Amino acid sequence: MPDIVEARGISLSLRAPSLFGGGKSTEILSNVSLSVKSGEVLGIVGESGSGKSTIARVLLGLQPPTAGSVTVDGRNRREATVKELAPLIQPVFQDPFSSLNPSQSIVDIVALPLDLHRPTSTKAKRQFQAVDMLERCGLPSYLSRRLPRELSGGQRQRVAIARALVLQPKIVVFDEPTSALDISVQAQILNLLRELRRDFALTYVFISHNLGVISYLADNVMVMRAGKVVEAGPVKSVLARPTTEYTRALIAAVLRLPNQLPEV
Amino acid sequence: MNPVLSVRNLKVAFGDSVQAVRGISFDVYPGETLCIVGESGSGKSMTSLAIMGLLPPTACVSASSICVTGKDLVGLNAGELNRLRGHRMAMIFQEPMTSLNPSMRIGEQMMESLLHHERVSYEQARTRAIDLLAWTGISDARVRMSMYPHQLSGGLRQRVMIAMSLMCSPPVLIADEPTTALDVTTQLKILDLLGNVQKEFGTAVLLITHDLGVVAKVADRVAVMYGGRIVETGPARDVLQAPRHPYTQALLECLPQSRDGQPLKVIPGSIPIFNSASHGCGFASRCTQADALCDDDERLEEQFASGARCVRPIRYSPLKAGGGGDNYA
Repeated sequence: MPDIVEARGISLSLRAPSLFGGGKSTEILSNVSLSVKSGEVLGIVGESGSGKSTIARVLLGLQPPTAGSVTVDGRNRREATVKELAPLIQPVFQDPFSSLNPSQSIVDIVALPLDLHRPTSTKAKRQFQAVDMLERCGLPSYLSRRLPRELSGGQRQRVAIARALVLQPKIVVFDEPTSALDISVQAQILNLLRELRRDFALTYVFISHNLGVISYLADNVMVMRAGKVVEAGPVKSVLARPTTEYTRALIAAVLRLPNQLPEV
Repeated sequence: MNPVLSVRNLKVAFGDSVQAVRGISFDVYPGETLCIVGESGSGKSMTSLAIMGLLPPTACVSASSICVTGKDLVGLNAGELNRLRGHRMAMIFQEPMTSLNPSMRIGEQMMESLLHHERVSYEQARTRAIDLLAWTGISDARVRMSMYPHQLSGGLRQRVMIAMSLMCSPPVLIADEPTTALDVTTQLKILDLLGNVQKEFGTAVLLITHDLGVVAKVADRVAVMYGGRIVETGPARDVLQAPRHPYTQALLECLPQSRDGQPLKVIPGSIPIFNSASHGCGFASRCTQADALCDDDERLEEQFASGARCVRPIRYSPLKAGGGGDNYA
């Protein structure tokens, strides 16, 4: 299988704005490389400030890196605009409250990517496709005229997922998609993500601070700290036999439950 | 031993249409941690805010009694309540950024409650604040005293919140999701710190959380809330290991772990809205075992005496204990 997403030696330095120019330059990412094969799920874990969300922004083309190159489905990110690659790679963000336009109905929100990328098709057809994708993501069609504020957190995240999938991309980048949700809702969304990945042959880049979620969903995992990759490999071996002190500390910080007893 | 916090039949309603807390009772003893666990909309935060008297006037709070160190808070006016808040009971909030005053130095905010409640000099209050900051593991406590909240990291701010809540050595500490906004490694340190608070000061802690992992780490006893009611209560280990209410069990099964391709179990539907006319088991509409008996309030109350508010609690075989893999919370 070829690599569908590849990043080589990504570095990013940002200069803090200063009144008299100059300002202190901070290294956000330093020499980060990753590769994801088609159909795989790459989990990225790390604490806040580790650069895991920034690497997602770089992959999506929302943040140009200072050095290094990103290839998406064989195309160099630098030589293509965000709009050209958008049908291939789509994001789902953490907060379903702030990532949806509050004044648009959910069918319009989901149809917007189609309006932008398939302007030649009729409006009716685009709306139909949007409703279809909403249903595929578990939102019944009678909800499609509602505004985001009329939906629960879990339902809103389903809208965000439908919007990401409506252009039938090959890759979806998730940035903490279940962190704002209750655990019973999280379970529903995680199951949906598994189904969608199977049905649409998707590749996921999945950012989370929750090792339980990563171990449930990911094939490979990359541990980040302070803008650097600390450890990477198949999720089972990294979690079972971490080779670095930092990964060991992260795993040790997971709060475990006592085993449950079998029922009679 | 007498409980330091004793709540009887607490109700919180918003108009006639929404009842957020529907008559709950519990006790917290000195040196003990009671965790109230539940999902959003279960009424757990309303419970903590109602005890502290921090709900807006639109909320209708009623209770038979809310006793803190023997003093009943029901019917107290704002002034009387102010003399107790921060003194006999203190609260730690989830967001240390929004709950600290951004325009006030750490030291000033910490000393405020002690100077308000007790006859101490400025110097004494300052010494106490520095001591407590150092005790919570903050280095250079003297220097931090003159810093503003934005100059500190999330973990440090939460340490400041904890130190601040301890200024008057309150017998009761209410912590509402104290580690939800923090990284896992920081969370562990803050939970350890709360444990030390109890050992050192014998404080009773009422901890509100949605995270069953936090419950497993710190709780002595746990109360599981669903739809404004406590549906199951008992020693934390028993409830987590052998849940007797179908909701508690379903919640535990929702936790993701490596299952080799198997989908997670989910709870169908979502939490309905309850009002004063709602009766029977609130979970019945989503429960796989539900039948006509679940509507019988009297029977539910009878069963609740043994821990789970369910007419058909789950039973376990004592012989088949143990086994199974690790859970990731």
